[in-house]
Amino acid sequence: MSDTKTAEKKPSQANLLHPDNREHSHSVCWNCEKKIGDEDVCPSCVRVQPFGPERDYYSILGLPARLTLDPRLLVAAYHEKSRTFHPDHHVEDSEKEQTIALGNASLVNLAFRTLRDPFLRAHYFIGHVKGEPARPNRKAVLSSSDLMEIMDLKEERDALLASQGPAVAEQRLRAVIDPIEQEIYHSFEEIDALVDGSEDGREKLSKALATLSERLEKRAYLQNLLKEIREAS
Amino acid sequence: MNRIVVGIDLGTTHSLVAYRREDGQVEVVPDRQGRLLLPSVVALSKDGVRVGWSAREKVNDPETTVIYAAKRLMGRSFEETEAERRSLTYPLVDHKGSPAVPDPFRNRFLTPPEIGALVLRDLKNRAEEFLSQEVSEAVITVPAYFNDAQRQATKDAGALAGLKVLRIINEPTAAALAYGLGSGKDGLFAIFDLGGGTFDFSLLDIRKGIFEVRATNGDTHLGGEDFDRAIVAAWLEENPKLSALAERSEVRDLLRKEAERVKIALSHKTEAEVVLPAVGFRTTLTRARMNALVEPYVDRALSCVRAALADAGTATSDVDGVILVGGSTRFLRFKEAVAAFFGKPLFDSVDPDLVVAEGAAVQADILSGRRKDLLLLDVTPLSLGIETIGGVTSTLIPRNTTIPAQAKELFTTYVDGQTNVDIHVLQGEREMAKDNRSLARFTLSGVPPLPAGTPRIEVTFQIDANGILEVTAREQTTGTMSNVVIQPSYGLDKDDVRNLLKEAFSHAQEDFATRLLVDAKTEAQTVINATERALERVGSDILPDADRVAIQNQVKLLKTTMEGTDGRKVRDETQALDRLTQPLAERLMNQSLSNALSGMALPQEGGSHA
Repeated sequence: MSDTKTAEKKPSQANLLHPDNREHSHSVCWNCEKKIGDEDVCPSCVRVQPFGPERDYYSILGLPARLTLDPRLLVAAYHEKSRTFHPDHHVEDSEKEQTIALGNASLVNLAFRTLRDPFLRAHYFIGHVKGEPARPNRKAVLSSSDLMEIMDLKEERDALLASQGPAVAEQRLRAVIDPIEQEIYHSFEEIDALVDGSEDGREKLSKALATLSERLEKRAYLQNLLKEIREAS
Repeated sequence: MNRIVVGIDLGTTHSLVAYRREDGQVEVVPDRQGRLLLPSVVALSKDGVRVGWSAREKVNDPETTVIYAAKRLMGRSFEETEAERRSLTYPLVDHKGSPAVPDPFRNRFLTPPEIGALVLRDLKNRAEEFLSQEVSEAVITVPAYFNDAQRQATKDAGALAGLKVLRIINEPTAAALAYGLGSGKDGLFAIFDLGGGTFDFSLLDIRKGIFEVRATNGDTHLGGEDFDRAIVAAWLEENPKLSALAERSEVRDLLRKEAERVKIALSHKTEAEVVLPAVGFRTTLTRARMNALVEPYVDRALSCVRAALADAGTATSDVDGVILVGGSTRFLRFKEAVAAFFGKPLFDSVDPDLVVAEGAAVQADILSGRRKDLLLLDVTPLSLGIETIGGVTSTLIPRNTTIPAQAKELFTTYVDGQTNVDIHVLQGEREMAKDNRSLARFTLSGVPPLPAGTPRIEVTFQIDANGILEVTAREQTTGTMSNVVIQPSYGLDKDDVRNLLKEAFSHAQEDFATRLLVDAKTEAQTVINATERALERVGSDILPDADRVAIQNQVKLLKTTMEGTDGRKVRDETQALDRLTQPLAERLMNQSLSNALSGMALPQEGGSHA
């Protein structure tokens, strides 16, 4: 992964395709009522602050909203935020602060889980750019496309399973999945560049995201076929 | 005095308590006899309830109910304990859906949390005595694979023993904490924890003080005792006569113990003799034959390992080291299989019996706020889901998700004006709801009567850092918050725990101050008895009158103090009396010696004293 830019504060790249882009709302500390931004910890009274509903997974971890993420930076950010919010470090605090720490630590874990896996990350990123909720209630169910091709593959897999065993069947599926995964990886940098780019690239970005979305769906189906082989054996 | 949070390993066969000393070292607390382990055994008889070694001695007493391996019953429904009921030698009955041991002597039923509480209270007392201070907070370990109900039951056991359970932590993680601190090395570690009855496997990434569990897997019904049982089963199959004798539980016990002995012996030699004259049984067991008998269990353990590696997306080659925990990892065949599987060095330098309690003490230290440099990121072992249409499980939080974890789900109504929505929460990996464990069923009530599909009820499922679930719900269109009360599908509910606690407090003879007083009084009485006997026996040739008066006054003072309630004062006055009588004791000793040397008989000691 080549993206080593640090998490410098830029205006949010979110919701490029939607004009109703909300900035982080400024609020007050729940404890000392001093005015604060989206700091994790109040600068005056050092109490942890609950994440507002606008905080997306990238901003929760303090990372730039991009498809390409340096895994080392991601883990470092995750560990730093865990040290700040994990309930183990708030056992002595007031009940209210413990509740905030618990909620925040849960979101930090969810954010890390989502952004760590490149495919989950890509899926989340698409929703993020489209201006879907910062923290979707549940991962969306993928709709079917390329269904015929996948049905054919399923039949082929079952035939191979019966005649030549799981290893051969898996090999056949991998021959289809591997190139798709490569295509997905390769589109990351291009899309990041388009997001950073000018208004002219908007249509191109829209198209690139649609293609990425299709590939992600297809891969998810194929992965299911693979999983079924492993579970059966 | 510093507040001390202790770490407790509540084991299937043994339990231990440990704490972190001022100097940073972790120490397992011994009992008065210097023993570190406490057998997790409770004995019920006419003359009282015994715990630990004295309970274990009663194992063949027909008048006593000896309860062991109660951990296997923890948090399970009566139905779920069918397999245990066949092998356990004490009676289990269905008590409000939970298994319970009848205590006919006290006309009550003991549920697994209550049995666990007896063991925990013994450890609490041990720690208080050792540390000379009250101990009321603890970290208790559980197998990583324990589900929500089993964790909750363990927490209840702590509460019943008068302990505030600050954290339930996973045994292999605790073990790694103990090791990780010692080695100071970063890397990815595989931890095998094979105890008497449970097997746990965890993959743990240690990086700059952060202990991140990457995946965990295990089997709550796989342990060293299964190896023993496999050996016994083979003997019975070969020997029909023995098989008939084994209908009796003493014979089964005898065979089980012999199997355990042979299993241990075969880790050092290749062949062992079995001679049991009591049942007329004699045979030879080779290592190869035994290995063949236990192989299915070893395979089962390794398949858990493969699943965990797959969940974490890692290969055996990524693993930097393998840590062995739990008494049964001493078993040679198991060590060989693990070494072959990973091809990595095995760390087994720390006593596998102690390491879990030691790790719990480290976590206790973190939670007492003294160690901000360390942090443990653990995972939930089982997927959490809800039942949807058609009885299908819909997963909300997948297994091996780092905790705390949260999932939000929107619910709505199917009928116009519907004001209740039923939700069924499940834990497990199976597709169909009925195959998973039912954690709770609850009803969201007070939903505003609106057209079908209009209400938006957001339900938050929160797994806390103990791996225990809490549920809250909010109706979004009106903003009303619904209180969700989770009733466990069986077992102790909140009221049961409250009542039992009230009972425990009303019998509050057990609290620290009282116990200190009782102990001090006992000791004081012993010293007084000895002193008074000596005073009767000796004349003014040995004891000057002035000294006699001083001693008599101190005895009087001590007796007065004993009528009060201050245990420490009783102890101080006892020590004062001890000091006063010290010269007398020395003189008596010298006299006895010179008498002995001149061939005279020694005065009879303690003959009149009961």
